[in-house]
Amino acid sequence: MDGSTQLAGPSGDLALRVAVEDFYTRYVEAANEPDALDTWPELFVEDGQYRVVPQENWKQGWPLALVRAESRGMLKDRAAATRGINTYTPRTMRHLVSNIRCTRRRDGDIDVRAHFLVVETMIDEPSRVFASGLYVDRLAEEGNGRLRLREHVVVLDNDLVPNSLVYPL
Amino acid sequence: MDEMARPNPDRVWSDEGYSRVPYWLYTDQEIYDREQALIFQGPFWSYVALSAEIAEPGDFKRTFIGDRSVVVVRGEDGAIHGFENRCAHRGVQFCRAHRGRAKDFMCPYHQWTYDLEGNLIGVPFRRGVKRQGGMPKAFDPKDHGLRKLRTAERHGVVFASFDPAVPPLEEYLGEAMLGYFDRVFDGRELKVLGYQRQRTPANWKLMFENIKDPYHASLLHVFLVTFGLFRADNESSVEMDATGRHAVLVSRKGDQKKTDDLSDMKSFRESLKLNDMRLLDPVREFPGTATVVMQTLWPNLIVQQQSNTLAMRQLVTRGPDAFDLIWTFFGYADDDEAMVTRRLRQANLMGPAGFVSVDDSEVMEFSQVGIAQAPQACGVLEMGGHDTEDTPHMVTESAIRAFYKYYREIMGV
Ligand code: FES
Ligand SMILES: [Fe+2]
Repeated sequence: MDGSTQLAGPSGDLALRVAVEDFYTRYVEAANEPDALDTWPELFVEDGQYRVVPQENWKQGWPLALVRAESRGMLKDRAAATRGINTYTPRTMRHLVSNIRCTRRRDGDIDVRAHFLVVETMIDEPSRVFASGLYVDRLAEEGNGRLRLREHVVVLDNDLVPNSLVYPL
Repeated sequence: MDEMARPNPDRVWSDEGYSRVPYWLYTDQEIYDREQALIFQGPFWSYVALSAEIAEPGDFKRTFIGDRSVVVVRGEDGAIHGFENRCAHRGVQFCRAHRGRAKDFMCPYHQWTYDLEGNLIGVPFRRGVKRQGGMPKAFDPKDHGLRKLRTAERHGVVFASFDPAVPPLEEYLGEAMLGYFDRVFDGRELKVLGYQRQRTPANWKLMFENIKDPYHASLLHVFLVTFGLFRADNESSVEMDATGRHAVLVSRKGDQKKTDDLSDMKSFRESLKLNDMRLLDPVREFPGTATVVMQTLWPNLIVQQQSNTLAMRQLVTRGPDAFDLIWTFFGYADDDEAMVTRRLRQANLMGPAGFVSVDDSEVMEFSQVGIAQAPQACGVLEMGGHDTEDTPHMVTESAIRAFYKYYREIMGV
């Protein structure tokens, strides 16, 4: 990525950019809305990877994640945990995703970097910032032009989680 | 700490002894302060690090004992030193990184400098500038080192204590607990896989109670019950050291099948199947038949061995109403790639996002808010009777009673 923004530059990528932005709008709709949670795994390819990584592990290259899913099946198991296996205080999560950069790779996939902020709201408490960080993602474009996540790596700015992480980031 | 005043006189523990725990214990600042002085700064060994985290001379780790920030560091001589992270000049917490490597520690404020053992080795302008100012002649750096810790290392695990009167570590753990400790820490080199940290809005003792409480596991945790990982009808035991301050819950994995005893376990879901079974692909790696050993070591450590997920859970107190739990996940240096992957997958059960642990961190928050509204009420701990003995089953709260029996002795409440 070179250091300047030029009016003529991005126009060629405009369609890609609009499509990627639209994809993240869909992602957030699936991740924020408990009733839409079942559609969340569908936003990944069959062997899609999802990891939520605390800042210190990311920086030091330690492999441990807070959540590690390596297939759509594991993502479904996560959704099932949220929808009935785990006990937790009901909460509303609000994701804001912005500053999206996307680059087409040689192999046809799309590299994405985006900033996110997630606000959590629970009973008896005002809303609070739950997490912020960077998405380090890779999107696959399927034959019909449909985008899905091949990798969704959520790099947290924080190490310390405010008690529990129940919903997808 | 005899000079400490007795706690508030209306805070009286009921006569029913260890089967009752008064709720003011979880909310009073006075109790919390007393715990810091008598427990976390007392003659006990707090967990601070794995040796693998500070393997080379100069490697340091910033961590906590109670709510005090401390630094542990490997010295030039290979020995481990520890000190409080508080400048002897005017109190600055000089170390502000989780970890790193250092030749010495310099406080940024007036640049007092300490060696790796915590001795003061440099005071700028000590002799003044142009013959003016400077420290008095009598100022001796030897009297102004950092507050030092005792340290002990066993099979790759490092403990520390503020109190020089702490007994030898092996004696402190006792034979039975040492046996379980050495089962995981058998002398093989350990390898850190990474960390998880969470802040739970609950009193620190609720965390210990939770891991000393096998009763809840068969009820609260749908995941454990359904997949037979820890269930009241599995062969299991609760064992303690002679004082009752340390304990283990030991269990052997059963099957995902229905038995008569399950009628009380509403959490059992026969129909629950994982979409991707790679999450639960445990292999036996320790001698004996136990598949889960959860060990609670007074005053700040839980050693987790559930299937192949191994972690140190270190408790950091954050006032009466909150604690941090720092999870250090590890394996062995000689693990093959498949084992590393297995450990990383099974880590999904644990931590702030764990299929199992989320239930605990959330329920502890429910406990704290409930308890806080009635400090004069108390909890009832009668499952398995009133005593504090070991049991060959998990339908008991005896390890919690034993913990409070010892706690009362130490706290004088
Ligand atoms: S406070 Fe540390 S040098 Fe002054
Ligand atoms: Fe539990």
